Amino acid sequence: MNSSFPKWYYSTSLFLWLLSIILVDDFGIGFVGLCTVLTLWQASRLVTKPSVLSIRFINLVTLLGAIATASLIGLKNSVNVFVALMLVASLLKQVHATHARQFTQICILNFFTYPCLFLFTQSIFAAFLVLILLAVNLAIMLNLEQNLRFKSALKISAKGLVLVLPVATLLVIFLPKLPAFWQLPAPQNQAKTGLSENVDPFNIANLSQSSDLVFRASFEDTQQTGPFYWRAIIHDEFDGRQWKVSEYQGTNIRALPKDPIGTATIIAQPSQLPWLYGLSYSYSTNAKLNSNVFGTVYLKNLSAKPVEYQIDFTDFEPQDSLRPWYYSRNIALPDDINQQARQLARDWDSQSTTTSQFIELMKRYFLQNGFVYTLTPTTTQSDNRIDDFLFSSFNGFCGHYASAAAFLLRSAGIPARLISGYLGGEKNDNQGYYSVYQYDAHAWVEYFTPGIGWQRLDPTAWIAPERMTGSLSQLEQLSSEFKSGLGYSLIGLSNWQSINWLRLQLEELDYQWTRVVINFDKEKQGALFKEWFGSNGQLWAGIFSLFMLLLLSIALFYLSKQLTRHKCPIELVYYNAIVSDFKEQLSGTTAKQHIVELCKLFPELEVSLWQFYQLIEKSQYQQKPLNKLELGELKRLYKSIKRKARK
Amino acid sequence: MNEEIKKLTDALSTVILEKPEQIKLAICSLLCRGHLLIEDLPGMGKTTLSHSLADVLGLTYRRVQFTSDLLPADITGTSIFNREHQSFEFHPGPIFSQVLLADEINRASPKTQSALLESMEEHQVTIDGVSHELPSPFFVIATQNPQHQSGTHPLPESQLDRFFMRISLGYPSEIAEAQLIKLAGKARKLTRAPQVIDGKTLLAYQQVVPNIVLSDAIIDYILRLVNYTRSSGQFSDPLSPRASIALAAASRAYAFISGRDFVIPDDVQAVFTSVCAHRLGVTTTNEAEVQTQVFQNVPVH
Repeated sequence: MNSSFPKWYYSTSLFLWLLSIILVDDFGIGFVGLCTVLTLWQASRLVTKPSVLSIRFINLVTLLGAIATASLIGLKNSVNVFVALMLVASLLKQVHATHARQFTQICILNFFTYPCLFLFTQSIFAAFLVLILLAVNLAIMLNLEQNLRFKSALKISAKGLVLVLPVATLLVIFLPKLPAFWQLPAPQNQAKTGLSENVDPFNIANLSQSSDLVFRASFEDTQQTGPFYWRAIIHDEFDGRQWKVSEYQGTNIRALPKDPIGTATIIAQPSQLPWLYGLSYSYSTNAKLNSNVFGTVYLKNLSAKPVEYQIDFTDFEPQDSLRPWYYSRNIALPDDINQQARQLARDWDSQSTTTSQFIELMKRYFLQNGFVYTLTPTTTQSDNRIDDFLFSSFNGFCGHYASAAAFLLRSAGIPARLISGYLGGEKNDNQGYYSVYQYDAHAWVEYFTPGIGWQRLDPTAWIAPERMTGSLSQLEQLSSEFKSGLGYSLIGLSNWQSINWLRLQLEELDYQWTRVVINFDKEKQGALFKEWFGSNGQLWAGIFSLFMLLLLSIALFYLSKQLTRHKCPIELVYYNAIVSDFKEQLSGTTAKQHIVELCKLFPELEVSLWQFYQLIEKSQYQQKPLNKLELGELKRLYKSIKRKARK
Repeated sequence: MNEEIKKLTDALSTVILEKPEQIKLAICSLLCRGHLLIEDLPGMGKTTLSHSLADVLGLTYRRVQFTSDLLPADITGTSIFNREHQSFEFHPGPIFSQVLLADEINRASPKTQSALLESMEEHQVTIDGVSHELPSPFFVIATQNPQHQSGTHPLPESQLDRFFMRISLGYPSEIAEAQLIKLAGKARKLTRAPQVIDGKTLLAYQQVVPNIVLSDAIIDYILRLVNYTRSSGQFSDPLSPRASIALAAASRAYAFISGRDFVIPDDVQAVFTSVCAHRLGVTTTNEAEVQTQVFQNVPVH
């Protein structure tokens, strides 16, 4: 192999490998393995000096790589496959690149490969990472073109990128937000942890916890206090195995039935489900969203970008009765299963006269039988899974308790439904917003009492009341269990105060980034223009941006001129300016001769001309750089000579 | 101008009338330990200049009139058998002096020419396997007639390179010539230039010259000049790195003579023709033309 390229060029391989690791959730561990193998191959070729690969061999490997990539990811996820193919192509191309031309191709390809990360995440860290990777990429190209050393090449490319930032900001703010001409299908995540439309807690042996952000919420009224039950999915149909999402989740309403008691702004991260998050009974006027009869909101179209929306929320409306068909829907249970539980419910029903008494009995049962909250519950495949839970295993997490409670309520003829969503959230004290992570996922029950309406019941609160007050991450008994499920993440280190502080700061930065940059959409742009330029905001903004563009291009023009001229020290710039004004021929005549001639032309300037010459002489011939004072003097002389001579 | 050097030039000016540039260049060559080639028609004062140079510097001086039958041994010296001591004895030739005037060098055979040039380069003479150091300072002033004179052996390019500078005096002005006519016929003693400095002082000066500041701007200018001779395609023998070094050294010496401790482009231009013309294979008659052409095409800054 031709090792004429500097070793640092191959940092590109490492970067691509890093990208594959970052995207492991989307691409799968197999693909990371493939990238690792390719990177190691590259590394081994760097250390040893193997022969140049034959074209046939390269083609074969490329074909194999493409097939392996496609089979590891599956052709269904077209976006994922394309991104993965680009990664593999870039890696493979580096293995056999021997000419500068080939490496240039790689760099150009990487200008497209790196930003693909934005398809999967738009956090500020991704933006930073991509910026850095692009800087290195640019440095490699500069090195290929101009043979600069790594440090100076990187300096130039970083400087260039920093210079571009104001332009980018200008473009973001002023470029009209046109609808996309065509749209890439959003990359499909393999269902991560978090919510699913059908809840079957008994099938889960180890509730895997993820510290991925789900959404951030801030209240207009900062006095709002928790616990916050963020409702997302309503499950009102139980088939004996799982709680299914309600058919009416998509039935919309037009307005809130009552006056709102609060307003919250929520920025939801992209998800594979349309169901968004709201408090008790919510309604949103956002054009991208629908509000349904259950008081939850959902997206009209899935988005690969974080969605920012506002909800008005209120308490449940008192209701005397449910409509008969809806009543029967909310007490329906499959026959012949969980007979023991049904019997228990019937016993309690006969012992109690009101729903609250019934619930009291249920609570006592849970508390007296030593039920345990755990993230690693006993699994069961039996049809009578609720019986197993209530009478033999006595352990589970929120899903188990909610499921069992809803079953018991329904058995006693009390309308009940299962709600999944999130509980709580981590409050940022500086900005007053709440961050809700996947591990805050929760399930609870809502039951109906005639005259009162729907009410919330969280049976998990009986078993683990601490769960109500804080985020799961702060729960001490579960911390080891929780952290082992979490994998590697900063949250796992939140015991250390400084690290936790750092994590919260980074979190806040990302919040601002998402709020200000990512979600800067047409409406926000319009609002901003209005604020800046008044009612005719759009027009003025257009004029302003055109003006700025003009200004920018003029600045660039002069900058480029300045840069080419900059090779010349400023002293000579002055000198040349003076001399070229009065003499056509520059070359051949020395500075002294010029000055003598100029003295003849302008005898009155003789003193300043010789002073000027002396400074030029000092800087140019005595090799003594001028200090600031002398430079100022030079500039003054230059200006006075020019001015007087013009007359 | 440097005060000491001014005395030198003043002293020389009493003999060589109205030729201050040529005098400065000759001193320049001396300060750089370079040998000087004076090319001119007969009777223009070549010999007088070289003679006076030795006089003002207070150096031992010998003159060899080169002829076509001159042998190398006539310059370097020879070993002669001494009967009394029953051994060979080395009799040093005229080259063993501080200033050697090689008059009409192009009249000698190439063999003799090369013997001289070799010792100029080596600063020593080897005879019968024994090396004899030449005195220090050692300085050769060669004069030659332009090559259209008959009966000459022109110095090959490779050997012209050994000469640091080539200067020519040219015809004197009318006033100068009138004065020369007046002075003619008087005893040489009366017209002789007085000694101004001694060999030691000259050595000291020679050590100062390399310390003259040669700024990057000047180096760039020198490089531009040299590159022009290489890339313009107008010169069959473009300047060698030895020439660029010589040009830099001469510029320094010229700056020193002018009483500065740094070189300015004017110094480079002043010495350029003397240092480079003979290396470029430009004849004396074409010098002025070439100089104008080069300077016009090479920007100073």
